[in-house]
Amino acid sequence: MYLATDQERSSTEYPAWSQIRESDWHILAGFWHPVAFSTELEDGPVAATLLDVDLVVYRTSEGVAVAKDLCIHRGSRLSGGWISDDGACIVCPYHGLHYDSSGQCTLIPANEPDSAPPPKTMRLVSYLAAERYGIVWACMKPEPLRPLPEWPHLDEYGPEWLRIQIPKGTWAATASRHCENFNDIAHISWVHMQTFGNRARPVVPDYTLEQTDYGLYMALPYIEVERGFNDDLGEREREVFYRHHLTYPFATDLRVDYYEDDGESFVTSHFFDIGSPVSARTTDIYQVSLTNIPGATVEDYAEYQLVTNSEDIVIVESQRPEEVPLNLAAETHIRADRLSVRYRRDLVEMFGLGSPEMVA
Amino acid sequence: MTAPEPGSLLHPVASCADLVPRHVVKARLLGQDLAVWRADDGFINVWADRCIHRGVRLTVAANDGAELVCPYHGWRYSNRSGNCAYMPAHPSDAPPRRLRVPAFRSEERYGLIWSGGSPEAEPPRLPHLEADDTLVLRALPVNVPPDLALQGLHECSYQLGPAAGDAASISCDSAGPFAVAVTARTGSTEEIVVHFVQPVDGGRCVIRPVMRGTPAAGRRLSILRHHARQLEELRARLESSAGSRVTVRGPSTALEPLPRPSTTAASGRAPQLEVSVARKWLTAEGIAAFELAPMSGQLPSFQPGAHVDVHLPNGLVRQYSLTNGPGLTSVYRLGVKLEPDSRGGSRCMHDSVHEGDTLQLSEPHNNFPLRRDAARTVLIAGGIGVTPLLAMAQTLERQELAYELHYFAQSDDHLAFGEVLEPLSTGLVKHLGLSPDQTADEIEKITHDYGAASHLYVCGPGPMIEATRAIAGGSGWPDDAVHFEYFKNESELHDTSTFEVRLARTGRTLMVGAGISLLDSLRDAGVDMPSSCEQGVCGTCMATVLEGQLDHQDVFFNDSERAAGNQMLTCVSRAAGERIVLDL
Repeated sequence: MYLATDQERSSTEYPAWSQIRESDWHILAGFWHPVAFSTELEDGPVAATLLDVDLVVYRTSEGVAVAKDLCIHRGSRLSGGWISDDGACIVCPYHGLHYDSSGQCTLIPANEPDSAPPPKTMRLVSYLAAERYGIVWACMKPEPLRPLPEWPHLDEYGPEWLRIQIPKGTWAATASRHCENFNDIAHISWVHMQTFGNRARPVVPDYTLEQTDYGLYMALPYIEVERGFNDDLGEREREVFYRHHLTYPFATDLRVDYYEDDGESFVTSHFFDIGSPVSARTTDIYQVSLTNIPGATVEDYAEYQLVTNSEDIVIVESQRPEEVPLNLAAETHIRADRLSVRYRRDLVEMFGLGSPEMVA
Repeated sequence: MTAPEPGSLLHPVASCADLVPRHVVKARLLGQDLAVWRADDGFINVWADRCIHRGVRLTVAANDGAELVCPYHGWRYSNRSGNCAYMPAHPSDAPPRRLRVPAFRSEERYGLIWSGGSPEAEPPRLPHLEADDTLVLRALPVNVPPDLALQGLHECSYQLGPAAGDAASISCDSAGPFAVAVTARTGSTEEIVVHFVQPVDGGRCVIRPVMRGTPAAGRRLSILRHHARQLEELRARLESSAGSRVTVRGPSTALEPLPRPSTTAASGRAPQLEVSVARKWLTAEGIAAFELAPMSGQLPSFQPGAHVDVHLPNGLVRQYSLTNGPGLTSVYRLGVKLEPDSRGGSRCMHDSVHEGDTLQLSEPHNNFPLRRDAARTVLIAGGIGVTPLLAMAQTLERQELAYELHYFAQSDDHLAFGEVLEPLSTGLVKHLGLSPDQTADEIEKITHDYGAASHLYVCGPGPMIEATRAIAGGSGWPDDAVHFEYFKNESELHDTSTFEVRLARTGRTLMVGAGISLLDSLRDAGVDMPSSCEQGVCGTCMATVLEGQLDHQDVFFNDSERAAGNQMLTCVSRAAGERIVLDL
């Protein structure tokens, strides 16, 4: 019914109800994660959850801003509010308090108009926010561990490219399970039999795998089956080349190159995929594609990607344990898993994720 | 009297009728998720519901009758043993035997499947029921701990009477620690239902009622309905009264999987299996067939192309290929040709080994693994060399993969295992009574058009293997597409380096011989070295190297780690020189 008189406003950053281990939470909070597509902010503030913290994401004339979804006055949700007419502030729906893009309270409508301005200490719990690639990103620590993914071709692309934003999905799976799956080759011939998988080509050759400043680079050929998703030419094999750029911890640029059926025109598609850790076992999936395939349409492309996702989701959501075991002896690894083994090692060795349970 | 630990007993996990052919059923016992499936040979597998590779639930796997196929990466797991039989991403590798899904006990009684962690426990034998005359009623999951369910069954037993039994007198008694028997008497008739309680975890259970005897025709459905309704009422009462008392959701006891068959294969030569000769017969002119059954437990799994070392009564050791197809896992089936110039091996098998005798075997080894991804698979058998190719042909047949089995023999009377060949007829081509030159001509015809992704497997007399390799090579078959095994080969192990290892901490020195991994040598010497994949991928068996040049064969280290030369994976990597020093 009541909180104790000595209960502080917000005692810790780490939400006590989180199922993410506290040591891992503080590390993950230091990375940039997507919290909304830019297009979601057109009608005002939206709610998001990142690492079990409820956030409000809003755009003012100063740009995008991210804060705890909590008015400091009476705890109402700011995401239920709106942007002020001058575009400078988010307005709390309860008593109309105004907060600017830095989180500072700038107006208390219930006070006399000639009252002193709200004190400097009256501010939201705000976080670092950035907007790039049509995505709003947040970082919950003052010093990000790593910069945003560097995908310059998604910043600027010529008229021959089509950009496709895939509707956001939410998976009941951990962000790392999703990320490993997106960068896994051996499953394609098994899981993607409605889309591009080729059951007759299950072998994974020894592939290029390099450690980079942003994470990992993997490159290898595959022979897809084109199933005539958008044409009536029927099934045919197609030799493609995959280049995966995995930016730690959860962002991937998958580039797929191939020659069209005529053997002349060479086309390229990029599949950008970022898992945003909503909570220990829930992940929001942000995907954007770029392609220069002539005649491609946003609708067809998005539908194809959603079908592909639906093939993965049943598998990835069934994986147990839900958490990726960072003790490598806990699962079995084969040569095809070199990327996932390196990924797990790096999460431990570079960032300290999965640190051993302390003995009290 | 203290109640026995639930983990020391067997409990029901499913009804036999749940196990529809070629399906996988989900169950949960003592906090352990289980995948339960029946193979075509009737064996019921109760496995941990988790692929050992990336943790996908095996209840979504496909049951092909002899193997479960994980939907994520197509890994195949064998009936009975749970061993990984095939990894499609690496088709030319024989998966290490330690790759195994944890398996649990499985027994059938009273129309239910029983499982648990104890190797000794048996399903209950009750005076209330007769083993093969029961009606399994509808099972009901209840969200209360098992002890509350048992208590509730006792207290409410008066409610659990028969459908038409207003005048029935009802009594109940404990039928063991996890069952309540309800007996209803009406005049001279007696109806007994035993309610078995399956402990799902600390807060849940499944009540599985089994009725004694078979009901009269026409009454079955009404009995099923009546008991289902009564049990529904009981559940509602139990769950509402348990209410806030139920807080424990975790497992009350951990379920131990069955111990894995011993895999301490030291040199690979020591006998590790005791088998009895269950059947011996003459399968063709001069060829004796043997079926070897385990003296206890299960036979280790094998892959097509595998052989075992047989330790003969006269002290000799001989290698014989397993002819088993994937469905045959209860015995090893061998074929032995009596060699005219036998030095005692085949002579002994033919003359001195009889049905009922005991033999010692090694575990199966596979130097002749079969790829299951070829565009064309050609099997060429000469005489008794057919044995490993029979295993391959049956595997391909079951997976509906195309193949040709060319069987060269002197005559029809010399064709072994006719009963196995018969169902293979579409892929089988017999070549009878040919001279060596005619044989070469036939092989020429078979191999003349090489196409990409074709693979050829040949087994037979040495000169025939040599001829096949030469002819295929001349027709453009690359070396890595021609697979062969000399069936007289006495040395199975690959010829690799021999080196010395000094263990700095204990001051001991070991010799690692050809064909034996450093990891196995360390274990033989009593060093407790953890390992997982044993393929140079996971890094679990890493050792620190103090001195010596390394022959890294893993894919775990990156280039700089490799160049540093101060760590190695003992499962696959070796010394490049004659000696290394490890910090062990």
